[in-house]
Amino acid sequence: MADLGAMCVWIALALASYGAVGSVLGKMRGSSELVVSAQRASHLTVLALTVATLSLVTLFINRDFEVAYVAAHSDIAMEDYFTWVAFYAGNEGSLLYIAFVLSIMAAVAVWRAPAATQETLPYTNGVLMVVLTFFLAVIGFMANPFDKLPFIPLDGEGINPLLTHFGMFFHPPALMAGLIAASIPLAFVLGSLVGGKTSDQWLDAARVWGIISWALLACGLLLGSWWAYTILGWGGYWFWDPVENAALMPWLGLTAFIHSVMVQKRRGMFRMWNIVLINVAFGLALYGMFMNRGGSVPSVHSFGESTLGWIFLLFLAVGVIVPFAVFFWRYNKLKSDRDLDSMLSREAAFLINNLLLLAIAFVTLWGTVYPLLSQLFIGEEITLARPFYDQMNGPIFLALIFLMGVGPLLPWRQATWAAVRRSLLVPSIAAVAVIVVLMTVGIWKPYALAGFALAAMVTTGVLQDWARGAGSTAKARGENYAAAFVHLVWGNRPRYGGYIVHLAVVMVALGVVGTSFFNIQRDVALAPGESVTVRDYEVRYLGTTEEFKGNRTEYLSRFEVHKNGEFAYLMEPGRHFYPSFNMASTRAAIHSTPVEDLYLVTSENMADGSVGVRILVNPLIWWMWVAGPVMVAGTLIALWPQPARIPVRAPSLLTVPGPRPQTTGPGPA
Amino acid sequence: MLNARRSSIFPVALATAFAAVTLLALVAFPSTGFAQDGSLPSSGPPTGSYNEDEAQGIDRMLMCPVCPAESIDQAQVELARQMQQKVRELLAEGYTRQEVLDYFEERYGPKVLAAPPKTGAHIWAWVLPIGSVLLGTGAGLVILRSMKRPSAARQTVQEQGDEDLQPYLEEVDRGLAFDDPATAAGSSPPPEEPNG
Repeated sequence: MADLGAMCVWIALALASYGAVGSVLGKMRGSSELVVSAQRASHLTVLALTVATLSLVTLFINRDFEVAYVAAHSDIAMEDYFTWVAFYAGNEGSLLYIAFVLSIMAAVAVWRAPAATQETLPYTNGVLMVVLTFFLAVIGFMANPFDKLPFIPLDGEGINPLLTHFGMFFHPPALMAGLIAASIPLAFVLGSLVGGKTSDQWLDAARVWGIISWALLACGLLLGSWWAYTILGWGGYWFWDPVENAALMPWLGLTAFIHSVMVQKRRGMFRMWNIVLINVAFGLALYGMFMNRGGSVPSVHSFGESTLGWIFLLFLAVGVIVPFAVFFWRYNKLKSDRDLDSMLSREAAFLINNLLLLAIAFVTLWGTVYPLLSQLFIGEEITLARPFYDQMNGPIFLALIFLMGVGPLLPWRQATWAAVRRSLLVPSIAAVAVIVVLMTVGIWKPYALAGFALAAMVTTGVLQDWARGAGSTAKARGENYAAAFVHLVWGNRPRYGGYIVHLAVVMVALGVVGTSFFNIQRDVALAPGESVTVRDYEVRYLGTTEEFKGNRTEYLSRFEVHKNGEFAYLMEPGRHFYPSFNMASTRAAIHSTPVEDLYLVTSENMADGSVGVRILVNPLIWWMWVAGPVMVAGTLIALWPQPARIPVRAPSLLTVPGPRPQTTGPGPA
Repeated sequence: MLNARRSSIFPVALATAFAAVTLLALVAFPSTGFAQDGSLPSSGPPTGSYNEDEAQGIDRMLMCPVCPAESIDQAQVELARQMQQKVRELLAEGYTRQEVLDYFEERYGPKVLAAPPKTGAHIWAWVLPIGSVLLGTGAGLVILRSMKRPSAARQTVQEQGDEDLQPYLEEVDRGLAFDDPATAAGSSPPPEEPNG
């Protein structure tokens, strides 16, 4: 099995490098046979990597400890379904996973490529195969999961206990897939530019794949937060950890891209800017993988220490320099079709949104590299951790949410102040009302007030727009409001899908503001029968049961919660101690409601039966986890293929008074 | 023309407001800032002769020296617990927040602080990113303004009576999402090519 897997990796490497060279050479020399054969070779990498992946899975299921990777990441006691997690628990398996996902995505992207990109598709495929070749070469030469040990150990070292959590089944794969998916929009842009197609040919493909990558990263980030919340045992969900940042930065870059690309789609503007954005996002994604797999920065994610750092750094440099070189090469041909009509327009709002997103990405990047910089320039390593990010990025995030409330209400091209006042009147009233209500109940924290007010503003803005749209559609089509609303959403999926995602972002913001400013935390030691009161919760400790399970001892503590003097519910936080790792993984007990979570996690089990327990009241965090499915739903709506539009109403535009720009559309191919 | 001038002020004003908020954040909350959770007295009972919320605020500003990228509030190791204990002892002895932080910095070096002070050589850690962000945003806005069409063309649009045009443009935005003839024409594929 190990030999089969290793062989398939080498075959895939050969296919991918042939695919890369053949596509580009074939296109340059005009040899369609070579292009087609390179294309097929590229598609065949999927097959080779499927076999390699299945081989590794089989090795895990059989607990074939002769294979070093299997011995290092599993043991006999491990349940079989954790193979899924063990597969990417270390560098070698993660890289194989990344290569596998990339080969599938590349095949689908090339297969479903829109007509406008067909002519330059060999270049696009070439770019994708270069990336795939890099990963496969690293797997083959430096980090082969099929390498064997000189002996066969009796048992493996076991899976890292922190990984044995439901969230781990989706968080790392979603993030890795999201990071690598960023190479697909880049490949379309780069392919078009190299092939001399300097107009909007790449736009639709890059937008769709940009959103896919963005959504995968968003899911990965939310699941990672949820994992941290339930298992890391400190009651938080985000710590601006270097590896969290590594996934956040490309997500920010892609957020900017998928907004800004709408301006290009609708108005034929910002073309150069969008190319810059996707280059930046791809660079940040590579940097993310470098941080994850290179292990150069200390982080709670340092699961796989490795020496891959320098090779990833090299690839990062190439991955940043080459796309920008191509961009500057084609610079003179990339002029926008149109000019900006007004600074008070949705276009301008989009650009400011882009700048703010990049600002957050830059601050985050700065915080991640500062330990290295300070080592170089000051001679001592300085940490920039959570207080830094909170102070720097907090205000920018607030500005971004403000823009999220204003931007979509501005029309394209040019707004008048009267129109702005009209659409912002209700949202502003809502914001002020929220501030007044909160201040009367005694909440005076400025950031919290701003956060809640902006959340109210965005929400009312979106709902107002929905109501108006549904109203006018209902009138126009003679339907009831519900049917009209469905038609409205279905008729303009990108816009309404985007609105739903905006609402999900508001939910996340509620959770962040709630937990950052209003949480209560108590660390106490309790003997059985003792109780402690936290605000209006009385938490009584009943006792702990202990159970040996192969590789671990499982402690389960029972607590009785009384609220307002009445028995409310039982809570059972667990703690699994792994002697072989000298490490405990905790299972917090969480009683979750939309208003607040009561969160119990045990930190220590003492010999006399008493426990150290952390009790947290986390307001509004429930909204954050609900935001995930909402965000996915919104993204799916936005991505759902729109049928070719019947341009029946287009002529009516000619009656619009004033000069409608008569520039031609995207230049002919 | 009035409209044109006012509209160009809008993003500049926004950027200024944003810059002001950032600076305000740094000035008004020098040591706690955005993450001042729990540092204000809340309804929890005070235990002993120190303020537990203050202690937790300090916990979050100290990194655990032996764990990767975790504060002593998060870390699940013995050393972190001892450091938490020490924070509370020092507070009970009457140390201020800054004195407690200094105490740990003296013993564990500057790396123990979750963020450096905004003084001395460390000021660059704070000033440089703010400066770059402001510069970048400013440059972006200047470029954006330079993208505006020549003023003659803009004036024509202005003179057409925005009020009459506005409802129509809104309707165009709402209903005709992608009917823009300029982008629908030409050789590019119909928007929303089903390729996802």
